[in-house]
Amino acid sequence: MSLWNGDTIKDVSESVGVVNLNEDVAKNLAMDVEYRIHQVLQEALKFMHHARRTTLGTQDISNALRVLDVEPLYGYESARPLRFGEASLGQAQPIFYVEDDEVDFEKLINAPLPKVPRDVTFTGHWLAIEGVQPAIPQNPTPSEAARLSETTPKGASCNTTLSIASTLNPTTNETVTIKPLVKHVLSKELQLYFERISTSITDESTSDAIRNAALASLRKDPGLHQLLPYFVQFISEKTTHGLRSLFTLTQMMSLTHALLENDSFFIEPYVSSLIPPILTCLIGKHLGSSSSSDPHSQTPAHYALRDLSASLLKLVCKRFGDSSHTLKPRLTRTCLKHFLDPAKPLPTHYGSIIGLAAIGGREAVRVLILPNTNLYEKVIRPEIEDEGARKSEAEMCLSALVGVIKQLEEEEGEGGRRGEEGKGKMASRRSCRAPVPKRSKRSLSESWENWSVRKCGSSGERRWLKRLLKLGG
Amino acid sequence: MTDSEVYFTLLRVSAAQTLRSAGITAAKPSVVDAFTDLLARYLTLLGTTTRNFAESGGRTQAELIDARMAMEHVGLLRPINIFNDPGDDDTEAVDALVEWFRGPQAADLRRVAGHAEKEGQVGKSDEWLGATKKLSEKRNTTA
Repeated sequence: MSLWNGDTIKDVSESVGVVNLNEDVAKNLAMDVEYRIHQVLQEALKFMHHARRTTLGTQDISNALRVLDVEPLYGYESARPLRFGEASLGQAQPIFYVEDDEVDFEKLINAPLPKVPRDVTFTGHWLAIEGVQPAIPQNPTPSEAARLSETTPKGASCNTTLSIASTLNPTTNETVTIKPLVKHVLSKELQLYFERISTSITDESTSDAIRNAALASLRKDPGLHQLLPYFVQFISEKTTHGLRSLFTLTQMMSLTHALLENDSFFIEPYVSSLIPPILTCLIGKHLGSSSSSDPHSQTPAHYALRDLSASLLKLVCKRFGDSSHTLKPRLTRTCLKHFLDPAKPLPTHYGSIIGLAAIGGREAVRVLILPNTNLYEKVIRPEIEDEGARKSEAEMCLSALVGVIKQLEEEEGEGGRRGEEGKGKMASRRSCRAPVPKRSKRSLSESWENWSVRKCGSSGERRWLKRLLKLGG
Repeated sequence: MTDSEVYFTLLRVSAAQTLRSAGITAAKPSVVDAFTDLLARYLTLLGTTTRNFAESGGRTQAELIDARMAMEHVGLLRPINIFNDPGDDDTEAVDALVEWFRGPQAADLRRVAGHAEKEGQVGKSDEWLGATKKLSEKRNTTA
């Protein structure tokens, strides 16, 4: 049946002036009206679909009327909603009318003009820098962020990794205080990875191949940067608690090396946290237990560890020395302090000597070590001549000194060879600032001759040592 | 769609001013809207006719001649004599239009719009036009 009522037709005809309208006429007219409405609506729907909209608008109807060559309907352009008021005819049948009160023109003209809407633009802003969300207006405030992230697990995942780290340390019963400062969500994969790697590295019973594989993976794999803070913390924790175990310390240093080698890490913020463990392994007083090293070997194992730490320090200084103003001075100061302190054990001196050479290279040796050699001679001479328990340690220190000065000589010798010999000598003579007194130098050279015979075994070495001491004079 | 709303609202102000200068003080808003719609369609008609004439002449940029022909076509310029020689300089219609602009009706329109007759004073519409220009510039340059 038709939707358009015959009564409506009768109402319209009455308003026009035709009072008596036949039923059939009204019905036919209703059907025709409905057909026209369908036609207009179809065209309008086509416009709507083509405009990729789902809401039919007045613009669509206007376009449909235009297409069907019908006179347009004026006045429906404005977006003001049509308000329909209700009025009852008294027969409990409400009549709806468009509410349309008269408005004064003065008000219309003098009304405030509409605000021009802004154009669509888009800009970029930092969402987070290095894990920290800057407090700019485009970012949500912490309260909003807390509301938004109610579904993500809060500190649970980082709690588990820290607890895993604590379970790996069976000797100490300290509880690791878990303070999740940043809500850190680690995938299960990463947690598993961390667990496996840390256990395989610190476990003495795993084979070398597995350990090497773990370190190689750390060295090469991208995408591990989320674990970086955990690894750094793991290293410092193990170093502070594992001073007795040389194996642990060596492994930690290898781990540090692997982390430094990895290209995909942005390790600069963690450098200051990595330095203390390295320094510990370099100039620590007592690394490893007394039974850990082979008593018959000439060089106890902790010297190898100190060498490794020194090379690590060299790597760090080479990479980050330029970007941080205080890194090299701080390290140099620490090493020098330990070197010049006679109360410290001799292995510390060993470590600080090679450390200074690693940090500063030629200049550090020239400026810091050479002037102090005669003072240092007073320290090690009695140890060597004493034939006491610390003789081997003192010998190691001496060999370290020889080694670093050799490094100095190599570089200076090159300079002499490049230019004229006399000029080279003059230049290097002038560059040695503090002249070492001859007497102590001779005594030093005597002991050094002994050592050079024993250690180097070749006369050539002795000759250049003598030449070097002459240069310093 | 918000753009067209703004334009319609602005045009409604001009329509209301026109009606006011003709002497009508109040009306139903639907009436004013219908009038504004008429005004908008008329202006659009002038524009499209001008563009059609320009394209017929093989140009993409409309010239003054196109605008004049459009006005004749629409019936703005009266009387037009279609039997004239093309060389004949008949400016009667244009003169009539110019006279209308100088006439009292247009002067009243200007008064209602707040556009002062003296050149030194800046009327309300000028101020607003300047402000709208600045706003649109700001809108386009803040990217």
